Amino acid sequence: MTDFFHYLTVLSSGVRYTLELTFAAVGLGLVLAIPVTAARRSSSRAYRFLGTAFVELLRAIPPLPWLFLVFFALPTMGLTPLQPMTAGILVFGIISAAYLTEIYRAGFRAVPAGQAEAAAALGLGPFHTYARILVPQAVKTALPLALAYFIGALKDSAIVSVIGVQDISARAVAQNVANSNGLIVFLAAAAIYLCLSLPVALFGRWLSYRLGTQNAVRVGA
Amino acid sequence: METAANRARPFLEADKVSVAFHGKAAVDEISLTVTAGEVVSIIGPSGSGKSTFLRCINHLQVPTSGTISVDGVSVVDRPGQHPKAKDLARLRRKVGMVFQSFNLFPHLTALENVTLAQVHAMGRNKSDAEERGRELLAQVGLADRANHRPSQCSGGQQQRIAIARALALDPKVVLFDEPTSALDPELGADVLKVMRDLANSGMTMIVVTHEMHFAEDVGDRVVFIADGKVVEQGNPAEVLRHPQHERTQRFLKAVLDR
Amino acid sequence: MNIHAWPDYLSQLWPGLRTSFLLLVALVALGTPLSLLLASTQRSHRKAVRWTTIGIVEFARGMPSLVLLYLVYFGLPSFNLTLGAFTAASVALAINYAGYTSDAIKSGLDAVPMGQVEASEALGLSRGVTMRRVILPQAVRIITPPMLSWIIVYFQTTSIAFAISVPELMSKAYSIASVNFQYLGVFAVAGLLYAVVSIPGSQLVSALERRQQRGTP
Repeated sequence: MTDFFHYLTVLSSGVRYTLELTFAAVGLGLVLAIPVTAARRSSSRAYRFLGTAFVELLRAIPPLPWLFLVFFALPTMGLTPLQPMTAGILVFGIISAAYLTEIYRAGFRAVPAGQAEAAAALGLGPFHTYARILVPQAVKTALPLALAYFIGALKDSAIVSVIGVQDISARAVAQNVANSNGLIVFLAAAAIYLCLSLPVALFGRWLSYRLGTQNAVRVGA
Repeated sequence: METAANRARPFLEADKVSVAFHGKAAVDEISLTVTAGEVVSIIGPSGSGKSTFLRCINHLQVPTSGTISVDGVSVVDRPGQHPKAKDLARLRRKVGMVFQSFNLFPHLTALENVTLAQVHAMGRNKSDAEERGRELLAQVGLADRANHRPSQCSGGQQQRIAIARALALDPKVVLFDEPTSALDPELGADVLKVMRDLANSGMTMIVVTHEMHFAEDVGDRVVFIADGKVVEQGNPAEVLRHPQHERTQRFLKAVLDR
Repeated sequence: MNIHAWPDYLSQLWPGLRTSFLLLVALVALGTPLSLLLASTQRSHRKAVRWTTIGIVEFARGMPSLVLLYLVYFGLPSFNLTLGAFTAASVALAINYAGYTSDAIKSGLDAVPMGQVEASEALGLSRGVTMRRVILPQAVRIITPPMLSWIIVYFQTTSIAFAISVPELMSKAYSIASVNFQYLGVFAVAGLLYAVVSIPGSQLVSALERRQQRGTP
């Protein structure tokens, strides 16, 4: 038991990196997903195709190959090698843009078509229609989904340990190599991830209860 | 054999059965005795507890207090006790049930609906079960529907399949929970005819219903339930034509004036 | 970028893809019965059983798949039980998969109307027969599309078995690339192999979902 608490303190030095990576990546994704969503909802067939291709391709290939492409392959093309952390943020940022696009779309789909029609009938322009009418209603559906996605991203981010980001998982691997006490080390790592995701999960549950949008749409893990 | 003596023997006895939901009594100390071969109609306003009481008889609803015995079988000695699976199975072999919404198994054909419990609850072999199943489907006038799925049958046909399914276990008593309420009057007529034939064959039946003609013509007794209590019971013609209680009068007036 | 070498990479990566598939088959074969068990115990009338199940499910999916993988691979030796990398990956991912999919199975089971259970009870069918002959056949239709999309997700997740050197697609790609230094080509081909399986898979799922929406009365 004392071992467990010992590892807990040792591993928590990685929490910073895990959180930094997840927040930066999801933040990047939240912004990048806006133009992609616009493309997917566009009336232009070409934009729609590009948007769809972006989302489908990013979701059809697991994070690890993307990570290796960015971290190992880009430098062979004459680009400056990226820091592991930067590569991680970039890869997970772009991947989360794809998933968040789907979440934004689910949010807009949940707004009845009559709302946009009513706004148009009142003479509102596209900007005001989105900003004042559609987005505030779409948020109700999208926010709980985005929180669930955030938890998924927090856990998925563990894979950046294989390119050397010193996150929780990387520290756990190092402790395991040094002490070969895998059971306790990785239980401690699991406990830390659980502590990080639990508050978000509870907040998400409370939020969807408040917003009355339980079990809206499922998104990939 | 239908002798006067065994006709008078109480076959089903419910003694002070109560069911409370969240502290509110839905069924309030209902006692009912039914003799073998008797057809009892239970009438009353919706929400009066009549269906809940009916469901207590085969223990789909666990009574909060009171006891029930059917043909000498009672699954619990005291209320709140967890019934043994064996006793429950014995009870349900004796009691058939027909639901308002049929509850046929949608993924099985009519014949499979009728044979499933024969094979898995009674242990009949498959060919005997199918033979009996076809016989029963013929009896309810649906021999030609044996290989159809419920979704390919009309509501009235579905309910008749459900009756055949309930009869397949050779029950001693059949409970009907508003069997025609979900049906158009025309489709309901076929179901009522099957029930009439069944009553004429001597089957003991307890029928929760809004069909006053059925209650009067076929039933041996009418029980009027309101607010979880038996208000009045007796000979159908008397209860339906000359109700004694004000509550019964009010209910019948509302039903008959429609 | 030397596209002409890609067919060559493809043939070298092939055994890795086969191992990824075997891993997927193993984890689904182990995980699905576990998931079914967790789904039915989550529906238990006993509070203790229900809460124990919820605890197991939250444990199974509360940590990163990678950490669960390490936990099984490096942790089980503490119980004098050492699993090979492939077996450890199958077990770990099966637990993870069961944690996530048990919800999909549970909602499929919940979607079967209560009247079906009551009719089965009234007919004196045992719980086992009711589950096998009445509820499951009806639930399977509802459960199939979400389960398929989880299987696609887990096809991609097999890539993390790289971390314990299971010779699956990513491990193969990594070892090829670290010899010929053609990182771009090798990883691009590996990535496309995942996409070539996943994209038609998701399209199948959407087709099934559309058919079901039409089919429901």
